[in-house]
Amino acid sequence: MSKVILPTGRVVELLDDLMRDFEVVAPVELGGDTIFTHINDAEEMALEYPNSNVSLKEFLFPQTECLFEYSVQKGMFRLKERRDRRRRLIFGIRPCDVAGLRYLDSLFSGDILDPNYWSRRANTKLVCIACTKPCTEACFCTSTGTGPFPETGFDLALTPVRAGFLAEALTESGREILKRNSQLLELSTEADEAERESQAALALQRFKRRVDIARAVVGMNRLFRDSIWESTSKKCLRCGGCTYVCPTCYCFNVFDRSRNSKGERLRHWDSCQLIGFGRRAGGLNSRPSQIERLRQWYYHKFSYSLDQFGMLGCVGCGRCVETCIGNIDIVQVLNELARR
Amino acid sequence: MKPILTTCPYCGVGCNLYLRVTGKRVVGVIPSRFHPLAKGGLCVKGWNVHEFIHDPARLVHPLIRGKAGFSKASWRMAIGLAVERLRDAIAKYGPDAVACLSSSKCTNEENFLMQKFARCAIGTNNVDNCARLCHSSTIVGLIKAFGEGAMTNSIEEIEGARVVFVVGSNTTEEHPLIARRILTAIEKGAKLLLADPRGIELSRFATVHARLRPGTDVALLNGMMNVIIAEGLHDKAFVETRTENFEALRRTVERYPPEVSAEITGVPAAKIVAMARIFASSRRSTILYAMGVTQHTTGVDNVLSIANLAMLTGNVGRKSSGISPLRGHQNVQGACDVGALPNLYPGYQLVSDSEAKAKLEWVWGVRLPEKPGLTVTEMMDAALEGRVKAMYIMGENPVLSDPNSSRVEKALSNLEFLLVQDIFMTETAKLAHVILPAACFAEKEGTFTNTERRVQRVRKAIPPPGRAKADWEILPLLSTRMGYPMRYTSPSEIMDEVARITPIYAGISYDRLEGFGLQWPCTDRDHPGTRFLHRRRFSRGRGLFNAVDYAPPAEPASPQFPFALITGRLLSQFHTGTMTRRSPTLEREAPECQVEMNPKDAISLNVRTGQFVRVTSRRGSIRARALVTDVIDEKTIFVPFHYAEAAANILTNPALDPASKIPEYKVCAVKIERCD
Repeated sequence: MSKVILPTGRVVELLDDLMRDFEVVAPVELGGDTIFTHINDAEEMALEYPNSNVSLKEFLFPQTECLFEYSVQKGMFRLKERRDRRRRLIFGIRPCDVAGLRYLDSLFSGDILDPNYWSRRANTKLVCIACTKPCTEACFCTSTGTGPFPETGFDLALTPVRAGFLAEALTESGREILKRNSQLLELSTEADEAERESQAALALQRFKRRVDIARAVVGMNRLFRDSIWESTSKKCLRCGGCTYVCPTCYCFNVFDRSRNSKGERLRHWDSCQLIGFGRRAGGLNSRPSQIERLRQWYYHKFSYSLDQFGMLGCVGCGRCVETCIGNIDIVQVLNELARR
Repeated sequence: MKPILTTCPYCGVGCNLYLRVTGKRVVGVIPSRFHPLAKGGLCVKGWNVHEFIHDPARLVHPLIRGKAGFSKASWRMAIGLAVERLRDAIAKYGPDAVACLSSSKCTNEENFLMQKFARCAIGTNNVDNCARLCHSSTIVGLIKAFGEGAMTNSIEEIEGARVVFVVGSNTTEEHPLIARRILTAIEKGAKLLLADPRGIELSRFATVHARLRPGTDVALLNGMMNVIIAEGLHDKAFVETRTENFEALRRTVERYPPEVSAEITGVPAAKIVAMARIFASSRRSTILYAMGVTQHTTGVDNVLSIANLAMLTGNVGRKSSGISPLRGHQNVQGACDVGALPNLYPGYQLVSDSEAKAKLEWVWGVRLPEKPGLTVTEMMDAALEGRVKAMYIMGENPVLSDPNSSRVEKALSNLEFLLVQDIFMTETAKLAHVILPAACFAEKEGTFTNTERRVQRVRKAIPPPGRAKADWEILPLLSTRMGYPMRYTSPSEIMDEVARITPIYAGISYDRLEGFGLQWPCTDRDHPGTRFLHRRRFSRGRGLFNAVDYAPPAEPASPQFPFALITGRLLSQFHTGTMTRRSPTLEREAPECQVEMNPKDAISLNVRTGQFVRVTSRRGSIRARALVTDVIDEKTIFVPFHYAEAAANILTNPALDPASKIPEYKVCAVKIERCD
């Protein structure tokens, strides 16, 4: 199907239509912050927005979720599984977050398909809006190859051009959305296509924060014991924020909450930056100091992930930079690794 | 449902965050990028603030103690019984036999109602909150020196300082989002001076770290001021035009040359000289302090000395200078602002000021009691001695948080009636006759006032569990049944009343608090709030120098009790652990009490990390694992006070600062033995 144009003035109508079939999640401006949330009114969506404060993984892998409820009756356990199968559409997801979900898809598809993740994921459609300029002061997706224009992993991509949004469907669901709303769309012209290309080139130039990832990755092979880990981790104030906001950080823990003969098993985000993460029975800790903990995070993202999934564990969204209360900047660290 | 913007209920920084809600559950947290304190970040407690909310141990209906323990009751029954018993106590022993403990964890509106309840419905000034235990010495000291008992400057301004002097504050663990500002200042070239007996995380960044002996702050500060005056580094123009009583200070600090100060503090004289010179070198030198300064029998003296140092170098009334007492609880500032204090009405108006009293009597339509009331620590003494017969405790856990726990437990057990209102069955609630289930921060509307005087909104994200109610709803139920009707349809209405009678809050109302709040003084509807105090003149006119001499701690080490015990907080736990110990992530970070001791002491005691030791003071004894570390000096140990099973406050000394009545939590004498 050829590309089409969605005039800016008709986005609201498209959303209105989507809301009939889906729970639509879109960026909303709240107190100056950009937060993705379920909207009931298409007008609520912010059309121009910096990237959201936290990544979109929370819609597929929430910070806290109930896996199942249990009760003990006559000495028997009864389990009630909890699955979220709502049909959801995330409108306005940025390319970096699409890349983050691709990473989580691989992770949750190991030997066992994680049922809680996949019940959500299989029912979630993604409408990605390309970035024509850096979303925030911190982001650097051009260096990680995950943006600013999306290439894969979405159902429908929208690129801002003068006439509106150039829409491009990648999946059957994406095509279906366009087909159903053809009355809102206009055929794109060659000029629009050309504009997309020039926008993409321009966008690339606008990203000033760059990292030579390849050199940094090579550097890491011999810098495991470098002083950079000590000097960087010294500033870490152990909040765990970098892992909580990260689109690819997936560590979780489970705990039970029970009272009398009933309870529930909950899964919640964990963080490798916390002391308790590596503590074993008897108090032994495999990562006893913040040096090991911080280094682990970098090696997982830029070294182990390549072996594990053939992808980088960083999508260049820059959220870890914004949230770090110790002022640690991943771009500076990587560039330093590339330099040493 | 949209995420709800609210204020974090842990420390005094007051970061705003969004609560992510699914159904009736808070399932996650999002930091606020534009909030002036959070700036897109949170500490580990903030990130996991939702975890305790849905703990199944939450109190969900009123409980009444019977012969066979607690049993469920209706609100009507529980309130009826409480009112009957409170009335009995008043009838039999008079209103001053009743004492109310308000809470730095509750909102301004709730604290306001609690003090109004005590003063109007009971008829006593016996109302206090745990500010007594953390910063009462700040209020007394700074009011004396400057005329206002609060943080002089704003948190943001720390970034612009050239010298940051941190005294008795483990900022990275206790106020991480303030520590972030210190790190930023250092990155911009600021120098960090540190006075702390322990090798805390901040020491990695310190230009000079004075590891002074616990409780010798006055000697250190006098030593620094001695050098500053001797070398003529003080701000003569500022001293001349803005302050008074300089001569008395000069004469006193003359007696503390660096060598003398070094002898007392254990800090080398050269370091004292270096600190003095660095501090006096800039007019953007700021002082941050916390419990290490205030929780001493010399707490007020310590605060006065800090005020002296700031005035001497002209570092008050300017941007990025001043004094920042870092408040522990998210609303310890507000609880005091709205008058949950035995000698002060809302807005620090004196109970002894007949004009203030007359004004409030007119507004509230009752005769107010004359006599200033009892402080927290005095309430416990009075309960023990039978002078206080009934107590109403809202959202506090004195059994763990007050010094000499076993004495507190005995005091509360001695009461004829104890009413406790809380979100969990705390160690204190277990002693109650009636327990009322309260709503937590996520379940109610209100305001908190942070350490920089910023009044911020608390917003309801979910309904309270079971039959629990917000404290602001419970207090009017009790008061009305007591015969003093209170009718409020919302906390916003309560704030309007606060504003009417509290000059520093006069311009504050909910419609103006959208966004990120207002910093008091905010004296009328058009007042924009105040970023820093004492700009052209001090609140009291001229700043007052107070000459203070060093006095040793109340309980020095002795041959029988050779160690000095310091108590304090850890990053991932908060106070008595009522909330953090029910948060799986936070509890896992620091699941048990560890006694920090120096390797040399460990060798002589034949103790290794992980082994159990017994720590004993003149008041009691606890058992906990040792943590051998050079973070702590010889002959000193550190015990966090979060753990009921090894409660540090079994050991601490209830000796009080004479003016502020703050207990000396920060140092007492103990002995240590290995447990086999």
